[in-house]
Amino acid sequence: MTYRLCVIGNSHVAAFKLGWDQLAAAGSPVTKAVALTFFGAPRDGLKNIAAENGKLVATVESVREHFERMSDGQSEIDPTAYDGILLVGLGVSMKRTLRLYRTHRWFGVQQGEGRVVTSRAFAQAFLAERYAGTRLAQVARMLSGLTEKPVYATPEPYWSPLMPDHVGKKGDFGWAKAAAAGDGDEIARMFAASVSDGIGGHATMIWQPALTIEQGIVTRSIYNKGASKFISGDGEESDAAHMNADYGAAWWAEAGQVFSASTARHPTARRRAGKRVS
Amino acid sequence: MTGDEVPTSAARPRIALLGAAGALELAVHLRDAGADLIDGEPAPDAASDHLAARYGYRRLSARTGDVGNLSALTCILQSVQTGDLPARWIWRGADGALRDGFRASVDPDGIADAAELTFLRKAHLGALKSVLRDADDLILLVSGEGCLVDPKDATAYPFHPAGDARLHKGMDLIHEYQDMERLNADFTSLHGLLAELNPRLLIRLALGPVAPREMSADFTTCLPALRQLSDLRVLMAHWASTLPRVSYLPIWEHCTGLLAQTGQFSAATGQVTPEGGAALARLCLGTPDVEATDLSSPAPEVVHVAEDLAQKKARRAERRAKRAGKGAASDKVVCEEELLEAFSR
Repeated sequence: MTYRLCVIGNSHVAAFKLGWDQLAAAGSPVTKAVALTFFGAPRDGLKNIAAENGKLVATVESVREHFERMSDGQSEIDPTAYDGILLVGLGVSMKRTLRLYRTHRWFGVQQGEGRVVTSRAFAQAFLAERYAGTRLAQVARMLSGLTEKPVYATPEPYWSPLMPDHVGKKGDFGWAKAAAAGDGDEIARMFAASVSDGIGGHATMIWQPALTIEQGIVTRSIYNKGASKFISGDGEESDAAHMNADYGAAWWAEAGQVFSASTARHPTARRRAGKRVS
Repeated sequence: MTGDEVPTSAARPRIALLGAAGALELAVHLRDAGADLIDGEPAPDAASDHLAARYGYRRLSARTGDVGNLSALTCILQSVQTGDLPARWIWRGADGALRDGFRASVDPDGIADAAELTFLRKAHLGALKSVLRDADDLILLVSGEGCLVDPKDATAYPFHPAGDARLHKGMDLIHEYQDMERLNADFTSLHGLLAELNPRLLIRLALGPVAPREMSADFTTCLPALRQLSDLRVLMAHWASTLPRVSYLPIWEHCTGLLAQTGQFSAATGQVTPEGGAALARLCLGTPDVEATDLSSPAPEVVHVAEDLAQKKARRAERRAKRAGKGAASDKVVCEEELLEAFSR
């Protein structure tokens, strides 16, 4: 029995689609066990959706067009048509944790002499509050009001180390500096804990595969190569945020097992699937 | 000063607020009035007020929690000065979590391990020291509340807001109030410690609100707190007239007097209305004449400073919006192209 998975996200969905295509071309079993339908809109476009008659509908034309293009013609999301729903990105990014790291320091963080010291408990509670305010959390809450089907979520990938020239300049969230300070693992731990607190009540988190990560908070550059600017590799090498087909393939290869016909049927599926992917 | 003049930041005193603020939210009212109130341990700007309050942020100039007892304040200042910590400052609650005995309320769920708690205590003492060194004025709200004394080394801990013995399970702490002699001795020590830290610091003493836990309907129960409050009132006047760089700020008298009469202060909740809060801020920031006579008219200096801050805030917001606009244009291209390209295959 094929597991019908609805994937909803922002631009980060692109890597998931391309990775899936790559696996399908290689005949990967996961692509035979799961059928995907994509919906999404770039940036924060999903602020323009609403729950109507048990479905999620676009409230602006541009988002409706994106829905139709990505799903082969469907203009609205009917949760009952799927066995599960996966939310991708939608503002759940390590960047928020890095912003806190730049101004505050908690126990376990090495760098940050002179920054405001706070307890880990407060840091986690503050970040949970921030992640609970993301678009992903909002969509997850809308879905939990519409369906009993399992809702999964995966954050935006960590940035790649593509941008050495950007260090210290506009757009630098401090990934490289934090990683170089040896704080990657602690920041990643804080990120995972606070996202789980902020969103876990409405969706089961599936984390970025460990094999794609280095220094705790950086996506290995091979998963970003060619994704810069445009996915085909055209344009300048300036986009460290979006990943390529290899990233999507790695994600599905590792997390794809979560989506099986058996998890769709059992009420404990969410709990079992909630383990960290590594 | 004319209406067009904007005071420079150098003209405004840097104010530290410590002690027991209770429900007065004096920090909020001072900030709203444009005071240069030091926050030595700020919460992230994006934190909600609810979350910040739960963890003891934004209420005072450091995350001390409410400490209105002079003996406890003196112990804290001694630690600030020496860096030494008493033997039993780490409390283990009935829930198994550890707490800083000097500020059990600021991490409401406790801390998991002693190493983190020590790291936090040391950082807090450093922040407190910076606050006191940077301040021109210290508004110190002292209340009639007792303290918890450790009989093993005489360390006085604040009577934590929860008043909950489960937070220091198994410790034989004694709830004590201080008599006049002890209060005087404590303040003399405190005054000396503050003068050592910052010789130019002006200490503006005020009676802090009496915590509701101290105010039982049963007169005999609340008598110790009332007695201590009464003693403090007398002593504060004495200290203000005899000790250098000490003055008295009649915050509590205005709350229970004029503001209570005009419905701007509730004795039941210890809260003031926004108008009452503004009046208190003017009292703290205004001239002595304003303090004594006219709580309803704004002190001009405060108003101009507030306008200046509002203008600065508006300019910052404008700059932020401009930056966001620039970024959004390039992000739009990247994010949209990502999707279009992936789903055109």
